[in-house]
Amino acid sequence: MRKFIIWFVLFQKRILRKPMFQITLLLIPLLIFLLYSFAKDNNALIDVAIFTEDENGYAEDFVENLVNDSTDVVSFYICENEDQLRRDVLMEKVECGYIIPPEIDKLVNEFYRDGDMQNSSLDGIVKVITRNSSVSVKVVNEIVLGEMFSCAAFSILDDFMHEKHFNDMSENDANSKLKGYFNNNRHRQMMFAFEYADGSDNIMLNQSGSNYYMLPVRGMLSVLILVASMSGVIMLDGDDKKGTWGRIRVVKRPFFNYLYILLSVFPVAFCSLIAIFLTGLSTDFVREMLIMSTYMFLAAGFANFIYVFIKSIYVYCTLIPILVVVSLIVCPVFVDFGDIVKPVKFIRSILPTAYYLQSVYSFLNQVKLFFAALLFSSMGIILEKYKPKVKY
Amino acid sequence: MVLEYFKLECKRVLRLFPKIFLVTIFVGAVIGGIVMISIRREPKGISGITVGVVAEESDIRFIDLGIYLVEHTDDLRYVCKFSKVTEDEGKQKLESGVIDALLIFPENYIKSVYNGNEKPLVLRFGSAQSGISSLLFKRLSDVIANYMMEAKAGVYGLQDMYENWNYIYKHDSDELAERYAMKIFSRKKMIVEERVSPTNNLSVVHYYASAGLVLIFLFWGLNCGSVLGVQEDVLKTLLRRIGLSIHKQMLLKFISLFLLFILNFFFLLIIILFLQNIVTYFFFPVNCIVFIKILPAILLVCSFILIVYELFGDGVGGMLFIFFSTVIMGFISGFFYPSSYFPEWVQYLGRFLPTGVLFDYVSACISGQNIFAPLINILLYTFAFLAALLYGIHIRLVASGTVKLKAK
Repeated sequence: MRKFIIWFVLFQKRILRKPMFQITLLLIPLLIFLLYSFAKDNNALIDVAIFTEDENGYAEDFVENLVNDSTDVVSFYICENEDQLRRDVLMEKVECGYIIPPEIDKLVNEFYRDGDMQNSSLDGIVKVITRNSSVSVKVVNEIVLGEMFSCAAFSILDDFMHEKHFNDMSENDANSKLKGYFNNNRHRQMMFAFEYADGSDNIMLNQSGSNYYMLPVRGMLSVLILVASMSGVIMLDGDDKKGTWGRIRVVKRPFFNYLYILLSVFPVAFCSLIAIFLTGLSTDFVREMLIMSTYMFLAAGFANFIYVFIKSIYVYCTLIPILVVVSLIVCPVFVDFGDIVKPVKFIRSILPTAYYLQSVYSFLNQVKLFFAALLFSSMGIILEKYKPKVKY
Repeated sequence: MVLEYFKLECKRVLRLFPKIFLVTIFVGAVIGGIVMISIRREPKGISGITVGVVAEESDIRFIDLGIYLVEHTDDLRYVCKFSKVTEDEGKQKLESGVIDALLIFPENYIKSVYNGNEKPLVLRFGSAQSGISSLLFKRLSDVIANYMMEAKAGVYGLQDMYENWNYIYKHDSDELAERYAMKIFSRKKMIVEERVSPTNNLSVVHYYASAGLVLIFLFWGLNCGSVLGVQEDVLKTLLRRIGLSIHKQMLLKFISLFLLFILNFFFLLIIILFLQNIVTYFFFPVNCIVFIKILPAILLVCSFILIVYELFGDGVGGMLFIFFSTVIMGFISGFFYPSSYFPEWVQYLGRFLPTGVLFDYVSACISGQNIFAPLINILLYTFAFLAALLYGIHIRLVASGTVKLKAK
């Protein structure tokens, strides 16, 4: 055991001298710092400009309501004139800009009263200026539509009451009473609670003020671990060419290769784990440790498994970007294409990163991660052991 | 002498062609395959998020109405698809990836809404990786909560008024709730969209096609490690001694690399044009004219790749550097998320990185805009990289003993 510990420490020292591992390890704090500084400087994910000519009427209140409802995801600000709004959209300062007409309340009420939507003069009450039609613009449209509905909500009730009880509503104070009841019942409540697959609280989404730039960190770190495992193979190949480990018996080589890759993943996995705890993305300590260690075995097993089939290190190197790019797109790290293009999910089943990301909040997927690690690790070792050897 | 060296350099570099081309085809086949399968399965190409809905039997009638309205509302119908499941079934499907999210209605939800003491709806996502889409979804949930608040205020206002008059409100209150629901979803054409056309206006297809092409060009550099990553300082010095200066050697190497990339791009173009002719849904905004226009971008890519390998002097180290620098620079230049999501200083920085300069140029070529200003930038960066390359090699050769050779 003591021998193994000495070997482990010496091996880690050796690894940390390699530029490729230095780059990979340096990337972790760099990444975190970069994303923290993004959050510090930026107020919102989507900035939206808004303008109205109305200075004292309802449109002014409408605009102020939107500004007050700004969050760290969508933030509105008022433009002095339409030209500024258009300029800000053109200059990509904002995602889109909204021009709110004076007397918007009247127009919206007329729109909702026009039951069969035949009055085409009411089309396009609000104009949105945008460079292109993106998902972000559609989300902001929904926010503005929600505010427009708020303009009309009382009128819908008022109209309904007049339809049903015209005489009662004609009394002097009926309308103000109804308005009073309506306002008394306007309580904003939390309508959705976000959870992970295992039912635990999704703090990132439930708490306001979370640093949303940190969302892809876990995914990016898991990809880095994958890269580290493949870099381990590159280092092993370099050592083999120099004959560094020539004294190790051939029978033990398959297991040694696997252990070598596993140990080269260790520093990156360790730093990633620290980063996960520091960024507040962690669940509980034991679970994080457990899945990270299993993922380490899986990444090493996966890299070793590929190495059994691809012995040319340059061909192996070309696989790194392919695997990384596919992992970033499919697993998902930045945007989940699997939500849009379903077959993407089949590709996930061959990528270690997906197993890790899905296992964090799901016991079933933790079991899958464990078996994937076992399968790739054992297959790599067995295939290497029983592979026909080339005779010179 | 120059011509002979150039021939040798071309011969050496062009050995990389099959490898680079095969990797490009492989990546193209994987991405193309995914898109094609999805198009076959979903005629519109986009299948939307599948949401499992868990609700009690007593609430199902109202929830069905809600689902019907959401699935028939302008843009929303493409975003979500709902399927009713039991809680256990939903949990299992969520974990196995059959559904993307699980919406759980608490017990007697509708009744609790009537009484004004409802618990929040629970929305579960499958993966630990909450992306930007989750945040947008969260903001949308606030909008839904706002609709709900206004509609409830109306219905409760009616109930209070009826209680004040001593009337029975059950039927009218249901009717008003239904009317609110209909009004919420009948908002078609309330907002009209006007597109403005700045000089760099890009459609989503053009945007990602430009970003994709720049990434492909830069990633081609990863395959060059076996040839460009080999230290040849002694050969360089010998060639220099027989009259072929370092400048000439580098220039010839640069030209041969440029030719290799042109060849790759040419074959890529042939495949794109071939696919466009035989596959109905395939569209990539590159044709022969765009191909010629884009060529200067390859100059910058080649100079970047050459400087990395020459200065690293190690194939694997160079590869890793190209890979990481491309991913990070691409991220900052808005290849993965639109750059408008980032702070202004990051957007500014992104424009001046090689990826940003390349993106500006390629997107201008693809969308048919004026390429003069981006072209100047491309050429300036290329010259700057080549100058830095020559200076770097000079410094390295001096340090590694060229000066000694001179003295001898």
